[in-house]
Amino acid sequence: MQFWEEIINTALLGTDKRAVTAAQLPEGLAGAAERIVVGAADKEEQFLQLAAVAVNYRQSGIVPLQQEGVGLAMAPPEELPYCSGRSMQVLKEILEEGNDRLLEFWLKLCVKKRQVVMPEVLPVLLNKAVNHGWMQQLMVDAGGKRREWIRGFNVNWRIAAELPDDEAWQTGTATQRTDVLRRWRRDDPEKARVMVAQTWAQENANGKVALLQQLSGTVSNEDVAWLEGLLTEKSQKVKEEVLVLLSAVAGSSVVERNWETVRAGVVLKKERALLGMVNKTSLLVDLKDTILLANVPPVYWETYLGAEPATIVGYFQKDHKKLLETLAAAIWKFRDARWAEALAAADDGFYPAIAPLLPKGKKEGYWLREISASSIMQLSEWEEEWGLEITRAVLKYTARLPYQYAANFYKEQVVRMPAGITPELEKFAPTEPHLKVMWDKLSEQIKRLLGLKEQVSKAFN
Amino acid sequence: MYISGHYFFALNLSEEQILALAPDEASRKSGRDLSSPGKWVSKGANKRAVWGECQGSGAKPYQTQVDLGNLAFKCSCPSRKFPCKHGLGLLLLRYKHPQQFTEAPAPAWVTEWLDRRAEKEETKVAKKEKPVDEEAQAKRLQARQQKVISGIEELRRWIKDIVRNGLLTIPEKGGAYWENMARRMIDAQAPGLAARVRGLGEVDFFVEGWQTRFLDRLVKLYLILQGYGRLEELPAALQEDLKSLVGFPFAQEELKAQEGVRDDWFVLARKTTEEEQLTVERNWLYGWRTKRYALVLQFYVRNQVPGVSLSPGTSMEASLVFYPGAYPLRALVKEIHNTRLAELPAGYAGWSAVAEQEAENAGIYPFADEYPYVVNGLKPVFYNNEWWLQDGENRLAAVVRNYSAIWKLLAFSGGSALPMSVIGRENEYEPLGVWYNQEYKIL
Repeated sequence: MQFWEEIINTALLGTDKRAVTAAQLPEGLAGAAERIVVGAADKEEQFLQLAAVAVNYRQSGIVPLQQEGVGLAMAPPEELPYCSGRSMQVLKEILEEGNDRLLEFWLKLCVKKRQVVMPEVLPVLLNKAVNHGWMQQLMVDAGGKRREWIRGFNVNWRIAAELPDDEAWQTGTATQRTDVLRRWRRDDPEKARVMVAQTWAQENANGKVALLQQLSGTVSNEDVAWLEGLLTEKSQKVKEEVLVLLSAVAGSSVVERNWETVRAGVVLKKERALLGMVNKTSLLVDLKDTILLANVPPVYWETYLGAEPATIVGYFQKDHKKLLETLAAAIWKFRDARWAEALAAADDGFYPAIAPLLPKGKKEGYWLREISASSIMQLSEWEEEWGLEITRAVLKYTARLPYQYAANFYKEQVVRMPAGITPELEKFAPTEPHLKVMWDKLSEQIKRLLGLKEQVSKAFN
Repeated sequence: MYISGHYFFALNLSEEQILALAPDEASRKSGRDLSSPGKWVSKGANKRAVWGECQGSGAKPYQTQVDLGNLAFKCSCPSRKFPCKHGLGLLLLRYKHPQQFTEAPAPAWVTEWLDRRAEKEETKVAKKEKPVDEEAQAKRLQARQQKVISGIEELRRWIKDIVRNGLLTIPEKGGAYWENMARRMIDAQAPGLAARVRGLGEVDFFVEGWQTRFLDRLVKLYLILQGYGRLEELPAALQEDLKSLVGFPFAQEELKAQEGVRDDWFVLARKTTEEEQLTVERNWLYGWRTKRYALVLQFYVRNQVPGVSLSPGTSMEASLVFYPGAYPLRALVKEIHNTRLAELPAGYAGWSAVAEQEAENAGIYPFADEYPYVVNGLKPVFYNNEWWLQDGENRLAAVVRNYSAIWKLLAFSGGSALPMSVIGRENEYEPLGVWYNQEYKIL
């Protein structure tokens, strides 16, 4: 549009420096232009009138651009059904509420029911998944074919979980690599070790520490030789991390050294008492640092003392009750579920360290022995929903501490609370008026969140 | 439903529409919390109102009532928010559990309030019916005309100064440059011109092509001044357009007295902007039978409820009265007869048909900045590093810059063409909504 460029150029420079003539306008405007040129009061009026005619001419003569070969590939059809309209409505409410735990709950149910989200929420969810690693695999599973299609248009939406593991391990970010390692460790521990060993020389000290931390709680005898080889590492922090891992594997040199020291300081003394009428057994502990007890596998005591776990717990109860806490730490460190059950059965104390190792049926009852800040902290990491009894105990405790357990606590824990607790919330109100007012507000929030949770469950039923 | 000049179909409001009435996010949440039956000690409804008693923190329950005719809320709670969470909760409860609201005679505290409201309305009508001093009115009009003409001359000089000096330095002008002239136009009682002056300053000078966008607006403003100066020579409809563009209001009561265009009006989109402590709501409507488009403007201050509740994606059988003009687009809702289920519209076949319509419009009414259209099958495509809307003949129109819902549109499309409502001009359009699986989705 040459004529329009002339008009724009004149407008930019100003009519003092340049003018548009009738001849520069399209032929169709000649008559109007001539009349304007003759009739306009001054050059500014003339320009404005010519421009007005030209704008209308331009706008009226638009021919839409026709371009062959422009288009997008079609999204493949979904293989799984869409979730229901009701589920979508709840999802929108959860997104408005901004509760990530409920969102996670929703997405997990969607995946479990083998359904996919409707397209309209994909952009919102994918944008969120960019900064929330926990959402990424869920989005891969719940996003369906439409997600696979649309992520091709937005590089930010490329989800790490979709990269082949080997590629993510070789070229991914630190988080992507640790995610892959964690997955390998879970599914194929040996492969995980081999892959770390392959790239070990290229890692820097911080990278090595991060990778070693992923192995925590999963180290076995098969890893010992490789880990002990790493004790010659130059970096002190790497060596410390290796020692932490080795100290949790029965049979490693570190554990054996600890055991040598502990064994030398612990003796089971058997003697006769009451003029030889009864046998008396005493556990004598002579250790400079009793914390070493936490670093030896409980199973070693069985061979050393020639007794069952319950009997050994009895020895500690009688002579060194305070050391039961350290024994519980050892049980957790070496993930010994058999000893955990024995300690829970033989002693009526509460050792939060062993609680996660107890079988499901016994776990809740054990937690009920003592609800405290530290036990609530551990309960807050449960994967499964709490039972009604434990929820009552937790709320009875937290309702009295509204500053410590404020709205954010309940926002996080709502997925662990059973919906059945809703009618009971008022019962937990503290008697002090100021605490009651705060609890009333908090319980309103809990009710709303539990209501949403219930709606999610119903929507997917 | 028509009561006292306001229309509302509260009984048919969706959950989303009720929540849209909330003054803030906290009220939305609290309103939702109060939408369970257990919160309400008593509740009831009839054709005029919904009411209920909600147990709050006090000993006595709060008495909440909603006038369904001229949508209004009243509650005995101490909240200063309007509507309060109890009012929202009550409407939501009514929406979710309609079976719990069997028609019942209203208690005294409800009927007293409704009667007082009716009395006030009657007083208002009586005031309106007072004889008008026509002589004084004519004098006022003449004085205003004088002011407007002086203002127009001042604006003409200002525009000519811009043209004389050139647009190169325009992007450097500060906000005061535009605001000062806008205020001069307000002083001249020409608010329409003031808004157009502000519009000049709102052009994004950082975006390529600002020169054309700015000049288009400047030239249209000049055209209004020219047209107004020669008002008597123009057709009557265009005269009305120009008066309205300058800022002379049209008496709504006169409009309401006229016969409306009865159709199933579908709400394509609603855009809300804040202008000087005033909420301006632009509702774009489409008539199924007449295939006409309409723009219903509503103005209200914060915490007030608009006279008509129009929710995008809903359809209503209603009579609309169009403001007079060469290409009447602006309208007001005279009467709502029914709400209806939305169907699929018969829109334009493609961009060529839209361009033809544009040309026709420009010949009749050269001042428009944008028009709404429903186009039968459009799909978003990426071409030359920009998003476009492609029709069945591979013709393209650009998506407006910085269009925030492009990903949502793309997610709906999945590479397929969808019936789409758009707003814009020439070769640049903003998608408003799509029909996806027979359902209208707002973008």
